[in-house]
Amino acid sequence: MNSESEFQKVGKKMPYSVPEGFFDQITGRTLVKARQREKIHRKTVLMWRLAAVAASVAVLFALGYLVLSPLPEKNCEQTAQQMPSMLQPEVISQSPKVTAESQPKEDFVPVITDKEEITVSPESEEINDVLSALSNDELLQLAILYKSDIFLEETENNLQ
Amino acid sequence: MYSFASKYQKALKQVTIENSDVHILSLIRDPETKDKGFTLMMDTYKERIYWHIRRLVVSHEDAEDILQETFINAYRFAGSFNGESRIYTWLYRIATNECIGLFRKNKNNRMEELTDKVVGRLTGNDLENSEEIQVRFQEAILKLPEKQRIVFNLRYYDDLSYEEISLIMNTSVSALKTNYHYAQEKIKQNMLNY
Repeated sequence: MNSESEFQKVGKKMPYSVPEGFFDQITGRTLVKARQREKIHRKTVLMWRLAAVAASVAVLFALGYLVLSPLPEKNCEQTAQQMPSMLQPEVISQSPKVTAESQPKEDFVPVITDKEEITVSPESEEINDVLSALSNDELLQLAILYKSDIFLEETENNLQ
Repeated sequence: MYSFASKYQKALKQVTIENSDVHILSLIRDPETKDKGFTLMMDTYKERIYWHIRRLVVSHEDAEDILQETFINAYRFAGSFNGESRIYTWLYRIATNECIGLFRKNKNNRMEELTDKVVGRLTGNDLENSEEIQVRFQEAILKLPEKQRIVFNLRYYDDLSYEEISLIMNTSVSALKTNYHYAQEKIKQNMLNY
């Protein structure tokens, strides 16, 4: 037995009805709604696209500002001051000591030459005192030692 | 001889429908003739789709809303319809999904309560000219599980093939046959116990 014979008594009739003229009007009403929905959809899509373009332009401007704008000078000075003293050149901190004795407010290079004079002159005085106190034999021994000592020669070469 | 004539008529009808589908689609896809194509599509299929929806949701108001939603969606997404299946298969699919959406909305209600409500609508409204056996038959269908109910309606009332129902419901043909068989058995049982 198939379904056709099983349900033959019932057939395909249904206990439902529709309001009069329903099928004549439904097409027009649905078309109006469909058009409205399409318009709203288009507007929404347009709004989203505009918002997306505006957002991308804003991001580009922000990035451009961050990348291209130079740091102000004040900021540079501040950062330099904030740097640890270890990173600053040692010579700068030493230079006032040296210049105070001989040449104040001079550049770094001449300061070094002065420093050499300052440091050498007292030593040469002391050496002269020591040498004048030595006898001729002692001076002779010193001269022999000086010639035989290789380390003294090396230091002399280095100085030259 | 009769068989040949019947087959010829069926094939001719098929070709006519396919041609009208092509015509409708070409009209809808052209922005200038979109509304004309939509009107033609709706006039061709509205009654079929309406009755399919009505059998599932029972209430005329719900059926009208879903019918409109179905065709509005078809209007909006006609461009993306690939034309591999027939237009009415596509419309049945949209309509069925809309009905399932409505069932899900009412998910909070218990299933039995929902069935009683639907059966109540059935017995309350449209019975002036209908026979008692038709009402009992509809009640038996409405008491079926959702999937069996849809398969039974599409097969019994709309005469769709299992292949077409498979496209509409995205289910295998064998599963559909099983569902239809169970649905038949349950309806028979229900009618006997009335």
